[in-house]
Amino acid sequence: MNIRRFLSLIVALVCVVTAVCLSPYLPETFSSCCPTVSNETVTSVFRDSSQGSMGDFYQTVTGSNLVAGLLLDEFNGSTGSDSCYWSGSGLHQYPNITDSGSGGGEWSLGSNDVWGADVVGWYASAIIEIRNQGPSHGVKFPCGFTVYQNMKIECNASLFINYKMNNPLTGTIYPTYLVDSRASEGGGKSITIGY
Amino acid sequence: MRLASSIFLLATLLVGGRVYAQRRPVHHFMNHGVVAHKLNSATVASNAPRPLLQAIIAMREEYGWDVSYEDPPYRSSYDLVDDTNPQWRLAHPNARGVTIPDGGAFQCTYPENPAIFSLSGERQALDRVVACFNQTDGPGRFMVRQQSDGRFVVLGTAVLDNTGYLRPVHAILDVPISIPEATRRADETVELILQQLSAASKIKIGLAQGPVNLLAQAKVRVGGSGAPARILLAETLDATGRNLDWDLIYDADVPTYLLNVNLVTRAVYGPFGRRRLIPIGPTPVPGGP
Repeated sequence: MNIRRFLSLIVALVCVVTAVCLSPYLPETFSSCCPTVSNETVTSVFRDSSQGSMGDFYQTVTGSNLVAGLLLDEFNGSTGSDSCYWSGSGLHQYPNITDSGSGGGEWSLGSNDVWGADVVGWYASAIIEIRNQGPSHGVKFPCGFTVYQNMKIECNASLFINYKMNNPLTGTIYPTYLVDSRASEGGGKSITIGY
Repeated sequence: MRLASSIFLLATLLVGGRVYAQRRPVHHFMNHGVVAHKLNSATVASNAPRPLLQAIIAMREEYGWDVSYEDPPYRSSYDLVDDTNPQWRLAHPNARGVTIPDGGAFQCTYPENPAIFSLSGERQALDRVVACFNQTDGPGRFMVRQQSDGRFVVLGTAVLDNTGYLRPVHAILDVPISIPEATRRADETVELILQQLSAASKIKIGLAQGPVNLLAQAKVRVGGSGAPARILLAETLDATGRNLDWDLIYDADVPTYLLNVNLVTRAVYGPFGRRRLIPIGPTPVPGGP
């Protein structure tokens, strides 16, 4: 083994070990071997083609080592809230990223560093139930959920780097329309849907 | 004068007592059920309009079980309690009120040992807790059914009718339906199943909550003729590549069923006792299966 190959192996090993150990605590700017996301901006939002009560949010990320095909994954942040909830409704009082609003999603980074769609909003049946039954249980409009989304991006097959924590996603129900939103440090967006 | 005062006082007490008796009960429901571990046993405690559902959720999160729950169609004041908001009632004095299941506090002790992570141990614990609940005056009667894929569903089997007698009920997801086999989004497939089920059963049933992105991203190929809706639903959720269960909630006032789809999770506890839920199951394939 020549010296250059040995040194490159050492550098790679240190990089991976450091990333594995410190990834939960690292700022976006860390790492010479993994992609970093320094900024994310919601660049467009559309009404979902199947769930007409929901918004499809598309984001553009900037940073380093970003290449098309990298996986982005969401996971649960802080406990969310739901002001449309009443005891006995069967809805979730403390929604999280896996059960309301958004959840279980994984995306591939596309060309131009765009990823999506991150689908956010209420299902139609929940909206009908809340609008029809909520007021007599004490629910006041507007009401809605807020869930907190954490995001991570793929470094390699076994390592993801967290790049965003507790990003609020909201779905708000008004008597005659809905507002779904996704925040972002580079600029979020919302969509108003007559529904 | 003294007699008049006494009569007035008595009348005030009686009227006051009546007014108090008509108020909605003040609930002190728990946000989550709790599982307390002992030597070779555990106790699950809940306090909710649907105490058995809260207990089942606590157990499945504690052990990472894949267990679904289905409400029976509650129909009488023996199983339901008024939940009409007082302010709303003042503004709508003649409108029909709303109800919730007449649950409350519940707890049950069941055997707990390493076998609890096997299907037989899971079955034993679930059977014990359901039997405990069926001995209470809580709303509904339930049973544990093992599905063909080995997973369990706790489903309502009986409710009290307007005369206070226990009446057996059929589980709505047993109703046979047909949907054409095709590749669709998972959420579209679930909604198609529920639409067919609504048409066949004449009861509204809809998808209320779930892992939105997963169900939107996953493309599934499901279809069948004359198959129980539960089978088609389970096939659809399995085809997402993730472990998912469901809770089917009945609102007797509408009436309607609402379906919540859940990622199967297991509770893990941090160094300061902070509880987090970790999804259980296979890692998803990007873009769905």
